[in-house]
Amino acid sequence: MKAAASAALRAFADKKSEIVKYLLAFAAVMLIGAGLISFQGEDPVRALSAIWSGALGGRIEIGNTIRWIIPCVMTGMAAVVAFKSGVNNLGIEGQIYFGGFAAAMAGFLVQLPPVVHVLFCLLVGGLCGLLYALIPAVLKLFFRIDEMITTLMLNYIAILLTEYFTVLVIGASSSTASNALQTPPVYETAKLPVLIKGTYANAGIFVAVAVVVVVAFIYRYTIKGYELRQVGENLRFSKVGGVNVVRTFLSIFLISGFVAGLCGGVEVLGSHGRFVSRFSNNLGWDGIMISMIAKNSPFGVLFVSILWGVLKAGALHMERVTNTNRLTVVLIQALFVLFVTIDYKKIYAFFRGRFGRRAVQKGGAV
Amino acid sequence: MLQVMFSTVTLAAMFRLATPLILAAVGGSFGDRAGVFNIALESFMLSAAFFATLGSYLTRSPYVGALAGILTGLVFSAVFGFFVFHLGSNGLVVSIALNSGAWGFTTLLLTTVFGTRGAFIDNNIQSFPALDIPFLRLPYLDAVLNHQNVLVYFALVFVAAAAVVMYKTPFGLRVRGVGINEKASQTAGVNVLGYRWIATLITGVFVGLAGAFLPLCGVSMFAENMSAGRGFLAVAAIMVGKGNPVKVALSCLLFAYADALTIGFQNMGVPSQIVMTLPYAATILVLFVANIKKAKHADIDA
Repeated sequence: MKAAASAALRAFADKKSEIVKYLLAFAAVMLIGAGLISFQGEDPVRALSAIWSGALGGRIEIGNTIRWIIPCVMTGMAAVVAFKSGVNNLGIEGQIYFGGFAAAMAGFLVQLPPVVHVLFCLLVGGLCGLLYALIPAVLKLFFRIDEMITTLMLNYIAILLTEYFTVLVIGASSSTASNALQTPPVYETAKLPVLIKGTYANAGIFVAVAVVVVVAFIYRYTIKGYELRQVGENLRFSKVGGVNVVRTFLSIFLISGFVAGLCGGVEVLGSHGRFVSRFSNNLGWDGIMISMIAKNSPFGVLFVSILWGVLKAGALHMERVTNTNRLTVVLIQALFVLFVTIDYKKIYAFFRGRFGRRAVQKGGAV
Repeated sequence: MLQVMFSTVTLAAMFRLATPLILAAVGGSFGDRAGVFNIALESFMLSAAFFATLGSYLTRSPYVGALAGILTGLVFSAVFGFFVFHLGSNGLVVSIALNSGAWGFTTLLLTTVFGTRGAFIDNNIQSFPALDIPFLRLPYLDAVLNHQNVLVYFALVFVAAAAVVMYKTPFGLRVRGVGINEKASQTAGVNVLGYRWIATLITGVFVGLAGAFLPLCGVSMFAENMSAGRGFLAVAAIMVGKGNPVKVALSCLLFAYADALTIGFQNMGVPSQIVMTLPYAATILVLFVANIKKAKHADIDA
């Protein structure tokens, strides 16, 4: 009874310190962010309220915020699947491009009945992301090449190759200006329906939430999910415990690639309506940062993605109505990642050890 | 095809393009050897490129620009070191945050300081001068190696110096020792944290210099996201060469050669997108060839 109570107390203390940690990180980011904004000659409060009204001020604004939440959730989940199990898939960006391109091709080359067409395109997109993730997975499993480097390189290759394919699709006669390259639009049947008129908020949000729920369910309630988590937590233990590490590693990498490809598909079918070269603009890295802030928790990704979506959608409005550059938001996001990774407990212990020894002797509890 | 592959233009371009890679990768080898996981070189390089441009713009001197680049690299590596060594952050996470932040940071500064988006070109930005070295005035060699930028020669000398420091000095020995076995080094009385810090700062200095080379190697301009993955290529070169300065530099030359080919191939009519994948594809290919021996007993341990 006593043991259970103290365990519960400890769990509560852990949770409390987690919350304190996020609050500390948030406060630090706000301080530096306010400095950045005033450095640009703007009142931080005004800039922040501009972000707020630009992201949540009305129907249209909320719609566009949802539009950005969708890819954030999906790339975030692609990252969670990989990083939770110790697979450093830094190639989400590249997998998005291949998924997006494949979905666009399926969208304007194939003709299918309404609902079937979208699902088909999404599936094709996911599979192409999966196939692109297969390359680094195989290189790691059979040739021991670090997946971090291969996926980084494959990102650049994916951006260039999909651009080249786009050129092939539209014919060599088109202009060579790389920022305007895009495929023909997909059929109406292949488009994800718009949820809020006049915005890009689309049914992709359901796909995104479904991915979160499915992954969370797998982790929490299935043996496979237990194995996946275990491989990330203690590889040697799970090996001895009889987990087929090779197969598990491969399936993690492929699932992560599939989700990333799916995200590319959703972006193309939901927001752009066609494949636009270089459309992703670091969405893959956003996903990795989101999963890091969310500590690889699926529902955490959902929350952080909302914050990310608000910042992304609000940034443009902030730039329009204040003297603040919208890239300030990119910096704020990076700072947030930096401050969340700090091991505050370690620092606290360090300071307590150095300055507060007497308090500990008296039995000062944390 | 062969004409392009061995033309003096291609080979001269190889040395020019290899310089930032060599500076960054050989400098980064110290951090790697000391067991510091750091893939933030990209962010060091990009930020250093910006401040080098600024330094050169303000003073019309490439050397002040280089100094500014070095200082930027130093500051960024200090931030990296502070988070990883003292605040208990994970090196990968810090790297990703820095890489992502550096893009926003430099582009933000580009718009606020220079008031432009995309690229900044100005007559005030002075590049490093080209050197005329008398004893290189030999037939083929003159076109390939002579009349290069000062830093190109510096990089080649630096490789030799780094190899000597790494393998022939007590400092190099300790850096390597710290990376191989932290506990043993500590027991032997080596200040592990101190050596890691120094190795990280060395990385910062030379990656900063590499960043300064990008805008000041002749183009005299700063462009958004100018480093374009060179920091990652440097990390790949460190992996291929296993932190041995000479081997690392050779892999840099190889990547740069693939990069140099793009110019010739593009003139031959090969689509630019395909040609531009060459350095990245070459990286994967080299890693593949280097690891093919190990493939027999493939097993994951990390």
